[in-house]
Amino acid sequence: MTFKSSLMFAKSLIFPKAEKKSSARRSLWGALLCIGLSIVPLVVVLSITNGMIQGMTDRIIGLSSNNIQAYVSPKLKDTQQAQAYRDYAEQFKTVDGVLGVYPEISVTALAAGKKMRTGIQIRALNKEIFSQNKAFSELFSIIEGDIQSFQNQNEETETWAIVGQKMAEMLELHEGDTFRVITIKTIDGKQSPKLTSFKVSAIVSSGYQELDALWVFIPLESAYKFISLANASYTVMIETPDSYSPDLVRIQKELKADYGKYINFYRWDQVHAAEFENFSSTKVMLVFIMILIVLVASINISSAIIMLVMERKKEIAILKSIGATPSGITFSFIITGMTCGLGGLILGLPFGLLAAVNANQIVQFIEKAVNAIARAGYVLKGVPADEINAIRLMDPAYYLQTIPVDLPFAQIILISLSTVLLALLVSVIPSVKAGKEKPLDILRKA
Amino acid sequence: MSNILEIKDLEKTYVSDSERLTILKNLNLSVAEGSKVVIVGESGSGKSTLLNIIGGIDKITSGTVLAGPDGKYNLSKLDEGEIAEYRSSFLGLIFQFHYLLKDFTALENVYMPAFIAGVPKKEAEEKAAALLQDVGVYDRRNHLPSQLSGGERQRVAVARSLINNPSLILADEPTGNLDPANAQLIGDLLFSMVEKYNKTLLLVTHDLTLAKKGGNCFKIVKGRLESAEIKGSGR
Repeated sequence: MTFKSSLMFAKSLIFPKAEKKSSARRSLWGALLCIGLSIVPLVVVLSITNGMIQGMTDRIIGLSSNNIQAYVSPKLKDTQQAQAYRDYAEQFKTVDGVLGVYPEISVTALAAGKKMRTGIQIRALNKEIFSQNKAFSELFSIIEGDIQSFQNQNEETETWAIVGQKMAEMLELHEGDTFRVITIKTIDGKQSPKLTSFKVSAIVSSGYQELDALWVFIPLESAYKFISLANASYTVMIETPDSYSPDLVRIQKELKADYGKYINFYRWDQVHAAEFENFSSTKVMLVFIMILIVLVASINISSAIIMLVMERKKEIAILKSIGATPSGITFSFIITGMTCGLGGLILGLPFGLLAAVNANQIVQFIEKAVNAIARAGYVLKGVPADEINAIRLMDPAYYLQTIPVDLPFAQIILISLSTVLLALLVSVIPSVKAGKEKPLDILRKA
Repeated sequence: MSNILEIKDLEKTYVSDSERLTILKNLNLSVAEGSKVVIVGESGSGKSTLLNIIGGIDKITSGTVLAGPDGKYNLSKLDEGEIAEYRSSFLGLIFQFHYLLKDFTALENVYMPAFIAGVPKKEAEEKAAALLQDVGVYDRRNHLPSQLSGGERQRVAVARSLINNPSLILADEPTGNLDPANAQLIGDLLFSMVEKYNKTLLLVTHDLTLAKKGGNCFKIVKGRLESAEIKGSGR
């Protein structure tokens, strides 16, 4: 049986001219719809997790450690004074590939606002970092105030700070407000608190609340002058051209060779290994669940083909009596199954892409709808409207505030090929059975 | 003339849970190329079973069935693929029921065996159109079987049996499902087509009028073939 004649029979199975009312055909279309429906969440999940992980990774790398982070020993005399520390860090630029260096002193402290206190991380940096560093200037958005007072301040007399949005919300801070920072100082082996007041120059958001809830930025000089550095850690963020370039290893090695005596140099993937492992495993788990849905949907194709074989036994027998081979018949049914898978893909893929691109609007719409229903339910129960908390489907405490969508075209092509392959695999057994049908029994009964 | 079909000591037994039923026993038959052999017999005598065996549709219990020049096809030894090739290139089958593919037009039904055998579609279509012209249903070539009358369907079936230029036409009660007038027409058409295309015909029928049109006539009695002389007329 030729390929073309198998195709012709397959076409008659999918688009019959005579009998339109066929339960097998309905099952086939049902299976196609199921495949289409299962593809939609798979594409959405892939696009969103890709975008989300990329967005979080960019923020964690760019704002937290940069591509390479140097951990400087506090015993090094160059760390005892801001300009000396800055000059020391500048030396790293002699290594080929180092674009920028940003010395930092980091101290864990307690911040007290108008009504409550919270743990914070003070990050003392060059004042110009918000305009000089690419990640800082691109990823931080100013919610309130401006960074001019921060950048133009006289560190001898002024104490301007930039705070993260989430922290500002917790401490009820606004531009120009003063808040206190408590650090621990040790004198003669005894620990005592040191209080410093800072004024809010600007409130910024990285879009990732986990970071925005922790950080208070102050100038490097202010750290030396106003806060206790007893428990401070000294690091240098080292900017290189590409976070994902293999050249990063070379730069790290050269830095180690030149300055490794008092400093440890770590790449971003070493500093944040736990976070990225967490991201990857979450993505793998989500994609695995979505693939299971596609797999279950594909099994519908198998059932539909079984029904189709039962329904078309007579045609199979006739074809065999006119010279069709078992493999030719099998092939026709496999083509039918694959066409069903392909049809589902063609149906689901555009909807999936459309849903992924409009993920933010869809989540907002669902949130509004859920909240409206919940609010109506609570109000009917007699709960006062102002006591009802809004439901957040994707709490920005754990995710980015805006869902970044990154359409992973290579992975989408892989999904498409896998779906068609899956459709082929689930069609094989019933199709082989179709090829083995004995014409005698069927023609006798017909 | 050489033999196109040689059956020796054929036995066909059906075994069920409780009994063994021997339908054909020590059956011998030689069919010469170009001949028109008719087999008649009581219902259940094994006529259709014999035809199904020759068509490769049913299995042989014992004996040999050699078909084709120099016994090219030994039916007890053919696998599924070889049987398909045998049916495609050597046989033309006509059944009591038309057995046309319901979703294919008359033209598609006729050219399908050729298309399956690898003949290019255009050539197969032209050949099928000529055959439909011969059997008188060319005008209905684009109609589905459900849109054709019983007689027209059987005409299409006759045309289909000839598309691959087979050596042997096997016809199992080809008029058994038709009214007398149509049966007469289809019977005449079958013999005229076989004559025109110079084919060998092995016909199984109840219809004595049709049987009379053939040459050698046999009757199956107790599983064996005996020469028979057709007397009288009618179905």
